[in-house]
Amino acid sequence: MVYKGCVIKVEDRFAVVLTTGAQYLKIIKKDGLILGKEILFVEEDLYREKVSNIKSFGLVAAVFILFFLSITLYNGLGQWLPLQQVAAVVSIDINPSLELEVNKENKVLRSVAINEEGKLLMDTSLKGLTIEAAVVKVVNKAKSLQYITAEKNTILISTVVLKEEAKVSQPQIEDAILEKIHEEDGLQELQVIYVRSKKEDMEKAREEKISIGKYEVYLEAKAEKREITVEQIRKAKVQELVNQGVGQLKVKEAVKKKSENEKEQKKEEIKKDSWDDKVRKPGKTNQENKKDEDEKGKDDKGQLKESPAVNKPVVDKKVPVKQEIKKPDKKDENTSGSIEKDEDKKSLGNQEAVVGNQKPEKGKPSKDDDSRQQDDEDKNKAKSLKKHKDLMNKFSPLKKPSQ
Amino acid sequence: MARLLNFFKKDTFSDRLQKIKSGDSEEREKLIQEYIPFVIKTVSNHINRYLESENSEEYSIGLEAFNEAIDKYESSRGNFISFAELVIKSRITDYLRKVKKHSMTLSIDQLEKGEEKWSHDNLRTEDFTERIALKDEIQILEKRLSAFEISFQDLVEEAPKHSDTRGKAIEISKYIVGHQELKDELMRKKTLPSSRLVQETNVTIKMLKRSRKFIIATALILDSDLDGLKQYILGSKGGVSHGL
Repeated sequence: MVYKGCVIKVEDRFAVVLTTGAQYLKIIKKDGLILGKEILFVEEDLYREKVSNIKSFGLVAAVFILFFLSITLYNGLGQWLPLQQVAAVVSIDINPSLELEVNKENKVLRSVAINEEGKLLMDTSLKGLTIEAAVVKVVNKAKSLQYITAEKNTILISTVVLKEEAKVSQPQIEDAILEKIHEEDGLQELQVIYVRSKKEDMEKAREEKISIGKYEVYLEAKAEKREITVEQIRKAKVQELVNQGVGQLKVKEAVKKKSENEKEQKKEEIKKDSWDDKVRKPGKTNQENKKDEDEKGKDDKGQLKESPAVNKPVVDKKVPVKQEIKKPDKKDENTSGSIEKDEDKKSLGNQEAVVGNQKPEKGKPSKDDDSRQQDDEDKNKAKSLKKHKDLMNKFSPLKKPSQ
Repeated sequence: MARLLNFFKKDTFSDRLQKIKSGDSEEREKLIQEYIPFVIKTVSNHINRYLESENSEEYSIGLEAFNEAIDKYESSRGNFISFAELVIKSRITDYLRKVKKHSMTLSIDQLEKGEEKWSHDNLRTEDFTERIALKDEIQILEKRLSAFEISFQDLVEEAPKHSDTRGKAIEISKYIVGHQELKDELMRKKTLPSSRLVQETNVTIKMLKRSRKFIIATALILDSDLDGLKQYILGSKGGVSHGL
C-alpha cells in the first residue's frame, strides 16, 4: 500500500515521517529528503533494524547453549555421571558384613562381602534393585539364616557418598530404607542403626578389612577414648556393639504414624527407649560382650526426658538387684571415662551384662527425679574412690527405688 | 455450463494479459491500479529518492512505462515483473537525462555553490513555499515536545499501531484542546490530566498510559498554528470521524 507523509526528522540512516493516517513511521534514507517534504512511500521503504544473520544465528546458538548449561548446573554435574558409576556405598552389618555399591539413582550396581558370613548374604539378584529393596532382601535372607532373631535384631547401616556430583542424599537413602523395612512384614521389630561416613574413611576401612559402617563405629568409639580395637569391632556382632553402646549409635526412630498396630508401636517404644539408653551412651567397656551402663549415665540428661515413664516400672523391678552395680557405673560415668575405670568395669562386666538393659532406665529416672543432688554427691565421692567395693558401699543407700 | 464455471475460475496473470491485449481496457485499468505500489517502489529505488506526489513527473513516467510493458510483454521475454521493471527503469533514466540537460542550462552556470543546492531542492516542486513553512512548524513542534520529554523517535516507537486506537487517541487530544481547563493543566503539569479525562470521557487509564505520548503530541499539534501538520492529523481516521 502507498503511504503519504510529511518528513519531520532526518537522521543518518532513516527519516521520521508523519503520515496522513497520523502514524509516525521510520523510513529508509534516500536522496533529497528534507524536513517538511511531503512524500509517497511504500511498505518496503519502512526502516527495519537489521541484525546480520550471522549475529542472530550466534545469539540463538548461545541461548541454547546457556539453556542446556543451566539445566546441567541445576542438576549438578551429576547429569553427566554415567549410570554405571558408583555414586555411593551402603554397608550392612549384622554378623555378616557386606557393602552395596549404588549409582546416582540409588540402584545397586554391585555387592561386596566384607566377611565370610557376608558372602552368604550376597546375591546377584541384588543388582539393579533400588537400595531399599536390596537392603530388605539382604535382611530377609539374614533372618532366614538366623542371623537375625528375636534377641539379635539390630543391624547397622552406613552410607558413604563417593561422588558428590551425583547429589545422592544420605538422609534420603536412610529414609527410603527405613520406610521399606517398616513396610515389610516380619521386619517391623528390626532395629536399624544408621551411620554416615565419608569417602576418605572408605579406604581405611578397606585396609582394615572391615565394613565402612563398622569402621565408622570404630572411629566414634575412639573419639570417646574407648579402648577398643578394630579387630574387636570386626568380630563383634552389631547387637553387641549396640548393647555396649560403642560409638554414639542411634536407632533411627520409625515414622510411628505408619504403624497400624498399637501393640507394635508400644513395643517399639519400649524397645527404643531401652535401646536409646544403651545406644546413646558413650561406651566405656572394652569388651564387646559387656553391656555398658556407663554410656547410659552420660547421656542421661538427654535421654531421661524421653521415656521416664516407661522406664520406671522396669527400673523398679530390677533396682534391688542392680543397685550395687549401677552405682559404681554411675560414678564412673560422672568422673569421665578413664582407663582405670574401664578396667574396673571389666570385672563388673559380667554382672553388668545381666543388668545392662535395665540400668540406663534407672539412670534416667533417677536424674529426672530430683536426685541430682545425690548424683553430685556421688560424683564427688566417686572421684576420691577407685575401688568398686568402696563405691558400692557408699552408693547403696542412695539407690533405693523410691521412685 | 462450462462458461459459468469459467466465470468463477480465477484468471491467471497470463490470462489477464491476454484479455488486455485483446482490448479489455477495464482489465487494464484494474491491473495498473493493482500495481501502483510496485511502480512507485521501482521508480523510487531506481532514482534513490522518494516520489513526492501523484502529480510528479516521475510518477507519470513510471505509469506510462508500466503500460508500455503490458503492451510489449510476451512470454518469451521471461517474467513479467522483471520485464516491467526493466521498462520503467529505462524510461525514468531517459527522463532524468532530459531534466539534467534542462536544469544545467539554467542553474549550474549561473548560481553559486550554495545557491545551487537550494534551487535544486526547492525549484523542483510546485509547492515549495508550503514545504518551507512546514519545516519551521516542525522544528517548533520538536521544541515543544522536548519540554514534555517526548522525541519523534519516541513517537515512532510508542504510537498506537492500530488505526482504531489512533483514532480514539486523536479524539481525546481534540477533547483536551477543546476544553480550556484541561489544556491548561496539560501545559502546566507537562502531563495528561488523566483523572479528569477518565471521568469526563469513556477512556480508560490503560489507554491513556499506552498512548500517552501520542495524545500529548497530537494535542500540541492541534493547539498550534501548525496548519500543515494539523491537516495530517485531521485528515486521518480520528480526524474525520469527529466531523468538521
